[in-house]
Amino acid sequence: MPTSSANPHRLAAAARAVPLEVAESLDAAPRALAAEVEDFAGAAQVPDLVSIDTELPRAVQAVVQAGEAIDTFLARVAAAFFAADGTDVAGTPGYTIVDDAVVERALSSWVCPPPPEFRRRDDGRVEVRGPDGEWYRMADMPPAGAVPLGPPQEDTVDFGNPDLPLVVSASVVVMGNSQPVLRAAPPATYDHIHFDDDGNLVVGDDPGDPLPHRPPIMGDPGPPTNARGAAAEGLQGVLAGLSAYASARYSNVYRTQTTFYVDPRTGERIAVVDAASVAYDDDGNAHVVAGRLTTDEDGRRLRLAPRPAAPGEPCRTDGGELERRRIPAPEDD
Amino acid sequence: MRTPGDTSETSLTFPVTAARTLAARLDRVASALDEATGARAQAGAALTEFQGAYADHYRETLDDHARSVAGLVERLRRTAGRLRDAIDEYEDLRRRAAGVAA
Repeated sequence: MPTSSANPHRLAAAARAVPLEVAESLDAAPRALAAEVEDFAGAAQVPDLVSIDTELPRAVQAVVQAGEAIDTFLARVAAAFFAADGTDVAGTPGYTIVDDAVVERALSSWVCPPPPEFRRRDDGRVEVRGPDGEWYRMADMPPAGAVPLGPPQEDTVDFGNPDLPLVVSASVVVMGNSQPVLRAAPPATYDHIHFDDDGNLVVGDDPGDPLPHRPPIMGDPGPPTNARGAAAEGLQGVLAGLSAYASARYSNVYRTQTTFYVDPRTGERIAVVDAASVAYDDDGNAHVVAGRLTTDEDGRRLRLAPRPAAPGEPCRTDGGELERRRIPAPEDD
Repeated sequence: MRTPGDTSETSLTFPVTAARTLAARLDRVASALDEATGARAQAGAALTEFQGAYADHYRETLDDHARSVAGLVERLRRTAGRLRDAIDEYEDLRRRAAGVAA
């Protein structure tokens, strides 16, 4: 069976080879370049002295993303090595051999990953299950020198419910029968609450968008007295009636954005959860009442990747060239 | 209305500031790309213990990427040079047009 060998500590460190200020500068470059190309190309020239290829910003973006994909690939391979029960190589501490099939499974898991899963341990600590199936300790800060293993994963979680991830089911009474609402607070409800490219919490795609309207969630005070009457208008009518009972006491519902890391020094798996607390006014409109963004060791706000694909959108990955050219599993050879 | 061959000073127009700004940006982006690629190449070369299919894939991708970056960096710098040449040419045209008018 084919195997690979590596020192995962060194792989994880190599994933952060590009100095942070250079990475940040390149991250901002395509947008800045596009604006300046537009400024120049839109201005009059008499006589025409020079023309500019307006595709340059796109070309820059492509190579920047390809470089980041290389870093991400290394970080993921390192995480796979840390998680795998590899064979130590005698005389070379930290140097292990792992089956390629194990590495392949770990790498594949980051393509179109499912929403993260939260659990509270007996000691009260919250852990998050990553796309690779491993549990990550929730922490305020990413490990120093660690590269995110993927774009932040978004999900809506009710941290006040003892059964994390909590907001999974509810029922309403329609014409005397209990009707399940499979997901009382479906992700679509919160699609308009997200982090923009600058890491700011945003409600709606632009400031003019209406705030999302909240459907009922578990723990609602119960159907309104006119529920039976509303049933004549169907389930939607009941839901609309229920939402009028909303109040800020549901602010334990969070829109979360989880980024997974592996500590290059210790191999510990760390999840940093940025969360927007969502509360509702008496009209059932959602408001972002609190948000937290992580910072790095120097207090600078971390760059956040664009939000993941919304339901119905094609899956987006950050893998770039490396994802498109995935190595086939050994058994496919 | 400007006629063909009209290079009178009043008919000459060129976005000098935008061209200078853009040329400087192109040079900065080219340098940052160079630096990032160099850092990745150096880190990759030090991973001697990384062996196997994934290591081969990583090195091949790193090489491909370095070649792509080198091509783009050359394009960026060449474009910056053309912009600066155009600024020089424009200023030369203006000087000559001013001389004719005088």
